[in-house]
Amino acid sequence: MSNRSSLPPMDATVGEAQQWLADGHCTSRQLIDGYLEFLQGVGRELNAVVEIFVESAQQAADQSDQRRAQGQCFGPLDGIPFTVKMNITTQLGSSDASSPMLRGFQAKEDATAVRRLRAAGAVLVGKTSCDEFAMGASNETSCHGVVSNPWDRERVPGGSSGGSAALAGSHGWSFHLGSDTGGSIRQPAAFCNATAIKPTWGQVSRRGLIAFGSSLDQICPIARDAVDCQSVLQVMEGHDPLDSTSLRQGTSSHPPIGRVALISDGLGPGIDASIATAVRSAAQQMASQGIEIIERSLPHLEAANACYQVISTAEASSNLARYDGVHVGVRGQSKDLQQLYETSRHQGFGSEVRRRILLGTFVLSAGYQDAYYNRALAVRDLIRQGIDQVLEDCDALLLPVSPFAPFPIGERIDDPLALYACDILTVTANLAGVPALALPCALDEEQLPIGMQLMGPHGSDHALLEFGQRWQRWNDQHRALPEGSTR
Amino acid sequence: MIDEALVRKTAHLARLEVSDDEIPGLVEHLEKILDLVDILRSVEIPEGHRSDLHVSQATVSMTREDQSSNPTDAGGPRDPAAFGENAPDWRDGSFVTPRVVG
Repeated sequence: MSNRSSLPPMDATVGEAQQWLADGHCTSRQLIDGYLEFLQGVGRELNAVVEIFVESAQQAADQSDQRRAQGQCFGPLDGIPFTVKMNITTQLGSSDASSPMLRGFQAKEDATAVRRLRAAGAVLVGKTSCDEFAMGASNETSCHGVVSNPWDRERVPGGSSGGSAALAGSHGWSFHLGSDTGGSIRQPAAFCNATAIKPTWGQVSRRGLIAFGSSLDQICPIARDAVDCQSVLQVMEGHDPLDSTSLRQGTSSHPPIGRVALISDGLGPGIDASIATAVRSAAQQMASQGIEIIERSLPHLEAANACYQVISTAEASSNLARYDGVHVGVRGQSKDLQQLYETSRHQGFGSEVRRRILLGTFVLSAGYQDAYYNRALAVRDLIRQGIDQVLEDCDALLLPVSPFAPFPIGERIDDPLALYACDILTVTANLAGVPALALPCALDEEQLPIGMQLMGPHGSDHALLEFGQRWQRWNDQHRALPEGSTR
Repeated sequence: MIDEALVRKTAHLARLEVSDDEIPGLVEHLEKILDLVDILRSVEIPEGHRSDLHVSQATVSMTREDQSSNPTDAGGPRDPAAFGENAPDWRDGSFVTPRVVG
């Protein structure tokens, strides 16, 4: 058992924990043991963590300590604990995308992002729950059960990366890998008071990310602050021969963000007044630090969610066609091949996944493709052009992450459309392929976290993260942990 | 526009079994979501617009050298015997399915 007094404060960021290790206040082994204790306690209570890798994590920590003793520390993530969402493959444990379809699925290799992080010395400590195949905004469709929000355990942590966010929102020292197809890292980050970035599409290899909507999906870091997200992104990003869609060119250089467009459509009807007020006051705080704030409208914002529903489900119906009861996963009983597919997919997929496959198949089917899928592709182009237009006279767009606060568990799960409404402000970044950074902004009157997001042009990921670091020097909301969680 | 027959036909295309009691809920859901996406019709698309742009304008068509890799490389060739490790039914180096011929 580690000596608690030697561990960093519970809200310490990865950067601070790394400094703590460098200063010799504790070993990586002690840090990892302390974090494993948190996972086994609070992590399990929140139902955020599905698998915990005690022995391999301890071994990796010991190796990190040896490197450090020899003066060969690998850098800012060496000896630091991290978790991986269940829809990202790891050799350790299982990678079931929180679906009965893949229960017990053993991946043969780490996702490229995971492999690069482990090679940088980061210590994989567990796998986190998520919505089934990352389809959801409340983490209530996971086959591993509902995850609680650390700020109010009767409420959802958001989704689909709900497990990752619940951990990031309740303890420091660590970072977490999630994914974002329509807001799946940003919305839970906002709900749990964590910092997360959805990188430019192609910035991070998707090798090993169990596909949902391939033209939208990205692996994303979520952590306590923008410094940590940047350290993780720097290790994960860059071309990967195993993902031909990962970008080849290096990070383009973008000037520091000096002019920000507050998106007025994101503050109007349908958005909680407390959230609109918090984001407006964040803009004022930026202005008081010399950032020029302009107000703009984002064309087609109201059509973006419809566009997303069509494109993401179409891609999902195609990507999930591979689960056929033959190659992997659940198999239904049947003497006929056609029926084998149908019964296996009935047994293996939850109702939300089946609804989305059905819609996606419909919008691609003969007679409907032009009216829905092709139309959505055209609108997607206009959405992207709309963002480009606004970015012509500013460096980034500012808007809330979620239109409402974290909601009680069970409140929306029986009304899919009420859940889809969670995505209205986040899907635009995925449709346009641009990066979007979610930052804690304030607490509402019920002491629930409010998040805001900044979207920038393609390749401006690091400019956004550097701006996030400046913001977090002006405003320390990101340091807050839920009441009662501090040791 | 959405009725039971259309849901059954689409489910068949998706290779999804649907039970009789699921049908009314699915009809209702599809109707609602198609109402929601109806807004796409109100967006004016410029004449002659072609959606052939990729999501990332920076992405160009990629090619790579046709090189072999080693089993120990990430993404390298696998031992065929391991293909079936996650399969529900794998015998003698083959995925087992119900009989499809003869």
